[in-house]
Amino acid sequence: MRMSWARLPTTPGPLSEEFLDSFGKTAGIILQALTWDPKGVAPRQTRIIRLLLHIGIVLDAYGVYSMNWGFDDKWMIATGIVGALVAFPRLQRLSTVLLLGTYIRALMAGYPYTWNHTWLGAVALLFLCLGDPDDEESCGLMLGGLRATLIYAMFGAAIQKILHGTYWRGEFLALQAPGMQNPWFVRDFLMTSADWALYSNENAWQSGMRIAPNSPVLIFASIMTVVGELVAGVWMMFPRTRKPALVASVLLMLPIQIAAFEYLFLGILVTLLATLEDRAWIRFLVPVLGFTNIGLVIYRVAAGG
Amino acid sequence: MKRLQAYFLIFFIGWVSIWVPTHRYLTFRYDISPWKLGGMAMYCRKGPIYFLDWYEQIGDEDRYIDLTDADRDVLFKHSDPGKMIALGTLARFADSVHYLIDGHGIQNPLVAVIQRSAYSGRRHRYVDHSCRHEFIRVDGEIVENRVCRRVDQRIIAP
Repeated sequence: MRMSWARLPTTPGPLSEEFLDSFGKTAGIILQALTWDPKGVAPRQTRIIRLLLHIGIVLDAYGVYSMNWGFDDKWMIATGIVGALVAFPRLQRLSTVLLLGTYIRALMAGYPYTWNHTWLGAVALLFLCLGDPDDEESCGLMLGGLRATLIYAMFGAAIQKILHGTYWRGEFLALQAPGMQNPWFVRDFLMTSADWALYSNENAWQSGMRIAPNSPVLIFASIMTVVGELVAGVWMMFPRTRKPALVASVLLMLPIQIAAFEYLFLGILVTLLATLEDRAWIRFLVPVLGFTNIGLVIYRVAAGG
Repeated sequence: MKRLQAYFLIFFIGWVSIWVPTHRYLTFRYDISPWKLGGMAMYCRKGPIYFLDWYEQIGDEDRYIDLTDADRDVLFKHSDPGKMIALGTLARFADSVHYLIDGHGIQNPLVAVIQRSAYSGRRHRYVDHSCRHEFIRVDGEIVENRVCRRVDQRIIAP
């Protein structure tokens, strides 16, 4: 048995030892960690994940097409139709392939201004397209791919925050807060009134001043954001810590969603997070996410886009 | 097909392991937007702020080209704002240059002056840059000369 540093249980995942061995030791351990599925629920989980991802992608495509990059509404309608084909069990895979086609069209039409989560959504769809929904091993690899995408989103973002170095003194949050969708969250809970007065001035950056806020809560929250993303990202890599990673991610994402209101990313994010949970209750996320996403879009449109 | 899935998964992990530091390098070296190109550096740094103006160089003087709304629509469809924001100093404007030179019948050099203000995490402040792109048609081909300099003439508060 492999499984040294990964500390995996002896219960085999969906992939056979021979298959894993053929990729070499390191790649084999990574594949096993990402696809680990002791309860054998990967096929069922994949069906739910596919529904969730289709909801998130169609609504994200709505966002792309409504951002006035010279698109035709016909593509929005086409995306909705091919995405909805997932409701027919025999057409699920075809639906995902067609959805990937329309989504790549949206991705390339916006290039190079394409949003980061659109790249993530396209990669997630590609992982689903490559797999066979009737094969347990293939479903395990599909879920493994989506988990890798999630780890990239979380751990990659943490590494970038460290590399850019704008979180240790709270300077990024101070500059960004006034431009957020719900600035009251940062203003009322994290920043002193003096800092808010300084950084809410749209021309603050033009003064050439050194950006160094004095709000202790803001600085603490800023540092904890990086630490939280880093810890959650590492936990996601190991099968035994998927559940704590899920809890940590939800706790981390809630305030970020409240402040920044990234409602188009929400669908894709919830889908990717759902790959960390193997119990049947995640099926309830499908109607909850569907109605929540539609409600948020209506709210956003009613609020003026 | 399973093998293809597994290879793609391994390739994806390898690719993102390289792309994160590369994206960070491009962000600082060429001012590409941290928020774009799938580098997961959104919410890491405020993107640069840009001002783009077009001029026709007549002798030693630059004459401002007053763009009409129709011109702006066409330039927007060439995605100049998106290119500039996402690709920083790597952005090229070949479509827009052809449109302006041919559409406005410009015989003299066409000049694009791009001023950008990029947040420097290392220096904890915004730093200004100014680039002057000169485009001239030589034997039917558009040739570009570019000169960039750091402006940084702001009063720096302690």
